[in-house]
Amino acid sequence: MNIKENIELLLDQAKTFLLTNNYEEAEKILKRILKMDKDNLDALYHLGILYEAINEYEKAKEIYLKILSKNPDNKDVKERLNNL
Amino acid sequence: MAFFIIGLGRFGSALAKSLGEKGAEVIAIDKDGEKVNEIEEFVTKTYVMDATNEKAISSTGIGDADTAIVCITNDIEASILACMILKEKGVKRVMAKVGSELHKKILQKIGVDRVIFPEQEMAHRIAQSIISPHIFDIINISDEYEILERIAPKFTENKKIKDLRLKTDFGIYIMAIKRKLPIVKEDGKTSLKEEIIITPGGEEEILKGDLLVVIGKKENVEKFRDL
Repeated sequence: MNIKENIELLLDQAKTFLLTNNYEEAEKILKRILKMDKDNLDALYHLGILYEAINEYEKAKEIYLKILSKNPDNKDVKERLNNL
Repeated sequence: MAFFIIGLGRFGSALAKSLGEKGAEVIAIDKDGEKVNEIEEFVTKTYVMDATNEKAISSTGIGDADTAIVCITNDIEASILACMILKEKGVKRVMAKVGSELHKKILQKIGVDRVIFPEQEMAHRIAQSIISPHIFDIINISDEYEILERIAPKFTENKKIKDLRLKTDFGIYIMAIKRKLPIVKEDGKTSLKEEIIITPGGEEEILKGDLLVVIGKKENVEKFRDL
């Protein structure tokens, strides 16, 4: 399995943990992905969502700003940031 | 229910507008005709008069009012006089905005039912939120009881309410849980949905990041606040 496939698999796992409110596991996996690919926007976005869910707004803001610095036109992230 | 607002500075006019928008009957009074004109379209009735003129203020029917709110802070003497007149006229509930600690003390002494010191209240809340970021809000509902909104403490995470013994061990009750749940939207994107559980049952499990709204005696709520 190449790195890209591995990251996709991990992202699916992280999303599953996130959607079942297992935030600690989801956070571990998302951070693992970001160690392999620090600019992975999907992982960053889900980490932002996770921090919002657990009321860590400063961390969520930091993540969303990082995404916007790489992709300034990301409407979803802009909206999330505005609602923080 | 009619509300008399006396003094139409920034606070008084904002309060009058807000009450008017909520459909309340609002009677707005100020000695400055220009200020009265500005608020006219938002309220039921207006009067240009000096609120310390007992005769004039009596002619408005204020004696039958349920609530009068004095919003005069730049002239303490006028504020005190207006409050005294309102109390004498038998207004059921007199509230007043103050701008200093001394002003607050005097109005409390003459029996004003609720003294509002917005700067002090806001400063208190901000200080609280800086020192304890997990605290979202504290509302005093009487001298004895308060309501606290805080992020669920670590020891409550992933536990059922019935197993936490909050009532027996802390003397507090969970009134509501506010949580943001990750969801997948129709377009396949992950988002969050806010859920509010009112008077959650014992079987309800508390999740990491939940906002708990609890009520109890002040000393109990404060213990829970500091956890």
